[in-house]
Amino acid sequence: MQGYLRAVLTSIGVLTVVSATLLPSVHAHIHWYGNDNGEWQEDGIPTYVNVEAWLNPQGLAFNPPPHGEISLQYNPDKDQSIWFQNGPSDWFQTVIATNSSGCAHFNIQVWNIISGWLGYHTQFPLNTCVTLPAIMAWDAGWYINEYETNNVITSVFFELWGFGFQPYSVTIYPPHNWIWIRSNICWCGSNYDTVTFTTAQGTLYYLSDKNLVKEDPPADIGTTEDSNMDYTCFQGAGTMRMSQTYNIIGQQC
Amino acid sequence: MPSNSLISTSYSVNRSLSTFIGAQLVVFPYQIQPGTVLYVGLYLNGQLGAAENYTLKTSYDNPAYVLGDVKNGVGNFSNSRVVFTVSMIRLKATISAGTQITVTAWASKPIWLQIDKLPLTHSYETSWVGPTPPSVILPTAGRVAECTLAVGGTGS
Repeated sequence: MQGYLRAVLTSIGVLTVVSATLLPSVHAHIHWYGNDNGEWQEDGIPTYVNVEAWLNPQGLAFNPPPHGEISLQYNPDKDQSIWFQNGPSDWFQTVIATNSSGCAHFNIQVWNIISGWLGYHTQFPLNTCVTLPAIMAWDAGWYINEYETNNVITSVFFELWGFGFQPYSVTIYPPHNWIWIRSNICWCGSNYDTVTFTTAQGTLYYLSDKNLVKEDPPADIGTTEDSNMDYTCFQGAGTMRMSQTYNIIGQQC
Repeated sequence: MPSNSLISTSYSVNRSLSTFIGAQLVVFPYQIQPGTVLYVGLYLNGQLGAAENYTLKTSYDNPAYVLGDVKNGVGNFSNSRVVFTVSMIRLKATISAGTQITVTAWASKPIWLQIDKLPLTHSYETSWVGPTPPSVILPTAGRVAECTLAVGGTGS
């Protein structure tokens, strides 16, 4: 999830692309940390690929960054997107973002990696959010499921649930242009922010109808936002259900 | 919304757009009949710019249900929505501020759409056998619909 300042990078976009495969990212100081989580790939062409973030045994708390929001980002690999995404060079991203009050919104954003332009964005609810405080509490669930036909992403299902409220969900049908590319998950800030979580522990589950293959963290970080989140190694690689835990106590893969 | 009606809702763009423009309609996944098709059209100053057609599923991950009673065809629903979009991406020409954007909806079978409770405009309804939207539209053609559809728009 990148802010509008991304346009500033337009003039050096080509240089970024050329150097992407040659140089380590300046953002990635530590793997399996913040925006540099491990990636997963599909062993075949899936019809859905989802991630479910459970908050356990504690919820989320954070020092509000400048823009006040955190996000759960489902991000495709940047270098793979440059070469293989339709557009080309579009970077398709799905995001659940919320402020510290649990005022959440669901997003699909497509950035052009070369130009730096926001190529597409849709949000629900538009220009507002829905307040669900329990999504920050223990045992809450954050869920993003990307559906595909012939590897083209046809719809994205978002859902939040927790104690004391009905699950809140929306399915968004984006334009039928973008394909699924190996991805990772980031607990991050929003709008260029790096967020500092003060409480955070839980499990990420990855499910698909094809076997999941674990990959190293990306050579080139796609998203600008960052955090102090640690991620452990994937469990269950080679099956259709993989998991990893996250925390802020220094346990990494 | 009933079947075989073209419902149009118009707004003005409040700033120029050079990269993309998108619009969205919100459907409640409730009582969707098999084979229901939804066409969504996007017009710039009455000229068709983009159209999408969707075959709705009869079952979504989290079906909606009605809270309370349905009165005059209007009800309150649980927290589940389906958002259908229509967009023009990689714009070749800038859309200037003040351009009138019209979003049309046509469904082959009745569906439940989200309405705008505090509308700034009206939706207009005309009989249209469909399914494809007309290439040109007069935004205020037809009769004023009883409710204004909730139409969202984004752009850059």
